[in-house]
Amino acid sequence: MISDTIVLVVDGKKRRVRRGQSVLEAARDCGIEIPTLCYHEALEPVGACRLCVVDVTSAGRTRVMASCVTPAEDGMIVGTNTPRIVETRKMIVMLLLARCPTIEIVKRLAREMGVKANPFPKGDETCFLCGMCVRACAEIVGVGAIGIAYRGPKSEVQPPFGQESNVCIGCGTCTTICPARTFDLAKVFSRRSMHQVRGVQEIIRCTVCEDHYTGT
Amino acid sequence: MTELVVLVFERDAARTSELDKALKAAGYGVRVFSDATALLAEATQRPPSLVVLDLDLPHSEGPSLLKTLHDVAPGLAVVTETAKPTVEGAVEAMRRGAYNYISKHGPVAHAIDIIGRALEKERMEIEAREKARERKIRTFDNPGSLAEIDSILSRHHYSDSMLIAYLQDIQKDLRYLPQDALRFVARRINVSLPRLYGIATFYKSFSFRPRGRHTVHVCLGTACHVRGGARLLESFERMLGIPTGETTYDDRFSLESVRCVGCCGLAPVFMVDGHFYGKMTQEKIPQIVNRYE
Amino acid sequence: MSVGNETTHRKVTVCFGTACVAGGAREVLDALRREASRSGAGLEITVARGKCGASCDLAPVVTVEPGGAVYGRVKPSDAGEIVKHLVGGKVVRRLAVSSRPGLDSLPVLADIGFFKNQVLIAMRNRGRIDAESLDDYIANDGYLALAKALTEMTPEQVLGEVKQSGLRGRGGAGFPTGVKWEICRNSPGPDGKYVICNADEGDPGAFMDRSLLESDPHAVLEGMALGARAIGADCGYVYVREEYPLACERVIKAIEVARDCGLLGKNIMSTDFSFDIHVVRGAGAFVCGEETALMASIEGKEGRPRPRPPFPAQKGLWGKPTNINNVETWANVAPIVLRGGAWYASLGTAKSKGTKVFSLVGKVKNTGLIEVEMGTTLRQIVYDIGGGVLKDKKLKAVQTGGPSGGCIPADLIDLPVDYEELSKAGSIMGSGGLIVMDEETCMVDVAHYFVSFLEEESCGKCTPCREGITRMREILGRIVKGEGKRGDIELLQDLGKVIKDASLCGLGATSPNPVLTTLKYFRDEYEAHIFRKRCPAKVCKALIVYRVVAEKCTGCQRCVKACPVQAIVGPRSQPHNLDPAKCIKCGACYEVCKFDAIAGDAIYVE
Repeated sequence: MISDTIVLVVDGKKRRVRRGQSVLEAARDCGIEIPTLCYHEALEPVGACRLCVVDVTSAGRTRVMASCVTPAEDGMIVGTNTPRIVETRKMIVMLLLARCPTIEIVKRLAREMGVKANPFPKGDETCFLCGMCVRACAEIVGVGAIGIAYRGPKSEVQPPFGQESNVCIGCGTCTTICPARTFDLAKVFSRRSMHQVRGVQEIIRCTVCEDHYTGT
Repeated sequence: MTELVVLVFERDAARTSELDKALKAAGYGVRVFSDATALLAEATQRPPSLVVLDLDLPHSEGPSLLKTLHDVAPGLAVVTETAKPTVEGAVEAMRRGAYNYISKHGPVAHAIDIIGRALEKERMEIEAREKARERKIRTFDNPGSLAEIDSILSRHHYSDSMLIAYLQDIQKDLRYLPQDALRFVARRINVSLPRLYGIATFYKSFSFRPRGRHTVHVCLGTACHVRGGARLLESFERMLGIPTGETTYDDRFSLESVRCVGCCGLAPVFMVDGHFYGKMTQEKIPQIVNRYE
Repeated sequence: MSVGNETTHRKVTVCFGTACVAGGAREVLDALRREASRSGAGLEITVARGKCGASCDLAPVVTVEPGGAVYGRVKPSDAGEIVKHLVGGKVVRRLAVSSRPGLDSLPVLADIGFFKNQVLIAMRNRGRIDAESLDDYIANDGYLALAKALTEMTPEQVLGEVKQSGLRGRGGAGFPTGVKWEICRNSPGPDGKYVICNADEGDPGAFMDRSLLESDPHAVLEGMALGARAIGADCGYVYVREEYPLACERVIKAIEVARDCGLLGKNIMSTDFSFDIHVVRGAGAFVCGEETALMASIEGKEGRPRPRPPFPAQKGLWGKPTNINNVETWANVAPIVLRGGAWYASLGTAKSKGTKVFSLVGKVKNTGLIEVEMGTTLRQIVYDIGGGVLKDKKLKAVQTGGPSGGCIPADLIDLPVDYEELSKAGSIMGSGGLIVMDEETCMVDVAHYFVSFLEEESCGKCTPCREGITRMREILGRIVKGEGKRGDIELLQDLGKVIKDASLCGLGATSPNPVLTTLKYFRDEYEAHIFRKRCPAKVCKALIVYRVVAEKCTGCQRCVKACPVQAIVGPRSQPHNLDPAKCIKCGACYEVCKFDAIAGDAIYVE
């Protein structure tokens, strides 16, 4: 009979956790905080931002792995704040800070990790491609109006051809889920701009239900 | 400049004349229909800029007419109207590809405003299509060209795991991926346009602007690099007067770089239209280029 | 020694690999056919298209049987003389490739350094078969292994031979193939399993897979069928990059022919084993060589790698257990099953068994594909087989493993080549590219080159790779322009470490290798660029000035004509003058000068 709990060693302490979770979820259950940017309970984890990396020792090998996509297994030894992990996270935050120097959440992470000077040239992006807006639109809302176009450093969140989407239903999920607050719904419901989207999604009042929607 | 033409398909006479007057006053060409067959015939032969469609037709003729219109002209903006607006109806119409869904009881000015915005977007696309016609590049706003695309899709049984193959075949036949063709593929295969757009932008083989009659690929693989590949590329850029990735203004050449065509023993290498030239030097380029019209 | 009169049959084979076709093989073949049909000397002369002989520098290559004579750089106008040779005349010496110049002997493959030091297993049919002839393949023990496996062996026994052979993945990672197969075999697959051939050979400088697929596609197909049998798969895919159109065409043809003969498809060789193969073309993405990205591409999606676990052997293509191997790995399977795993394991070193195909390219005299036993030293490869450095310049380094690999410096030339030794030296085996670099190669420029390549090919999903590679490229870009600063080297090292540890897939994780190995072995070059603003190899444009060496200039004016910006002036027969202000450093003058009279000087940049 397989029990429904397993035992991990996290940061030197034995922890009993529920079977079937990722290392991130297991750690959080124990009250251990691991920073993330691209993780959300309502979405399939993708392991893109790499902020949640931890040292995992299993079957004699120690590797750096993204905790949100690593299944927790019985007997695993996990280090969430070893010197290597701390340095690794710091560098990742420095890279993000270089890309998006004005974004609050990145600045906050940098402060928390004690990042002082940034050796990289400053960019001016407002999106760090966590992809949650895209995944939310597809997985939660079921519309899939936006996607990540191009690849590598040229990747951009866009509706097709960078033109105004005509399947967007104006639900605002992308706006609320974005950790960078890159989408902003103007208070006066007259214009809404999506960064990374060329073109503007205008909000129109529907004559049928009196609600607002993006109508192009 | 092509006149922007709106087809109005309305069974309600009063509403029809309201729209007709207001549209003409706004400067658009208008044609009015009350018969579906005539409407489709007109839409096929002389593609309009926009259609205003009455959804209140018996036997769900309205929604199915919406689909048929899009089969004939995938990018066509259709503004749907109804006397009995409901939220479900609105969602349904939008899901089926309507540009907008308005109430017939609403002020005509509102309708004209919505139509105006759509036509503004259409104006830009019309200009692009005219430019394409000037350059003798095929466009995809008519059923004839769409039938060709359809036959490409049928080769792989319209399967949605062959998306990349479809785009490759279209890119090969047409030298680029027209927007209208992509919209058609998305509808026909029933995949979301963002997904198709994501594929089209992720892979390097695809382009949204037509490539020239001849494509030069200069290999920048490691072996070619150490034997001077980068200098060959620069030489081409100077000679053709374009940066890598662009096409000459007369459509004669497109210049691309490629990382390793596997001819490393003959480095440095470039290809023109798939024909390989090995052991190249900058000196040899002009005589080879001159062979291609 | 002339061609013997023992038989009345002569065979002339023209290599039809891409490189030889580029050199004019088609025209040579036609000319030979014409001449052969005119000769009428009572001899039966067959003129055939042959498998790539992998000696591209000599393209087009023509081989004569009996005798094994090799002619290189053949032109259509040479056809008459070659046919005359066949009919009993003398060897056409000016065309003959010989390792002993001056001797009036028929050069044979067994004498020529490039060929004699090779051990051919994956490339066993090199130069012997027409790629489009199933008969040729079968005549050379083709499909014999599959017949044996289906009639005399159990699937477990087939797996056992591969395990015993010690064959390791030839695509780069070197994972033990038999173990990989076993994991897949043991994964429950009620809805079927897949085998995939990864032919997305993207490492620039490597073309082993292209040659194998173009010249001996059945070797790969037979290997895949054997793998499918061992694992329990019924469907296979070959994923070919679209930059290899001929390879794609030949594989498709080979599959059709094999199907027609009952060697693929339902009830292969009238047994209960059914297995079919489909070909999928890539669309221009290096990252699709990574397993999970490749599978995503076959599924019709963008090629973005996925985190592992789950591994493809457990949950792969469309969620089913999938075994992916490289082209060369598959090509080794049939000989292993036929001759036994123990035989294969008798070759090579303790942990790296068998042979490896390398693409020997760059600044080396004899370029081409070679297959040698694991443990052969770099010295043997570069000098005995390669003939030494081009123009006898000084060897500086050998780059292995493509953009995931590193540069082995010249003083490690006696390194025996195998997975462990290359790893210890800081590089990797990779897919087998061996790029020879000489004193005129700038190692900082090489690092910049590889990192720029990876920046274009990164899928962009994870932060360390997408952002980190760009930042590395920026730093190296400054250094090669003479704008390097103190601290850049340390930053590259710190950044490199994080990228290695935290990236999602192999592309990112190995991307710092070219930078870190060049830093390890050629740090002085970096320091010269950064602190003294000099490029010792005279490559980095911002740090060099071209000038004419008056003592050597004969005034032939070739450079004057070659210069695109008219920066060189000088009347005929007088030493010319190069105006540095106009010079755009394109190097055209350097390329055309026959008298070594154009020099690139390293200079100070203020």
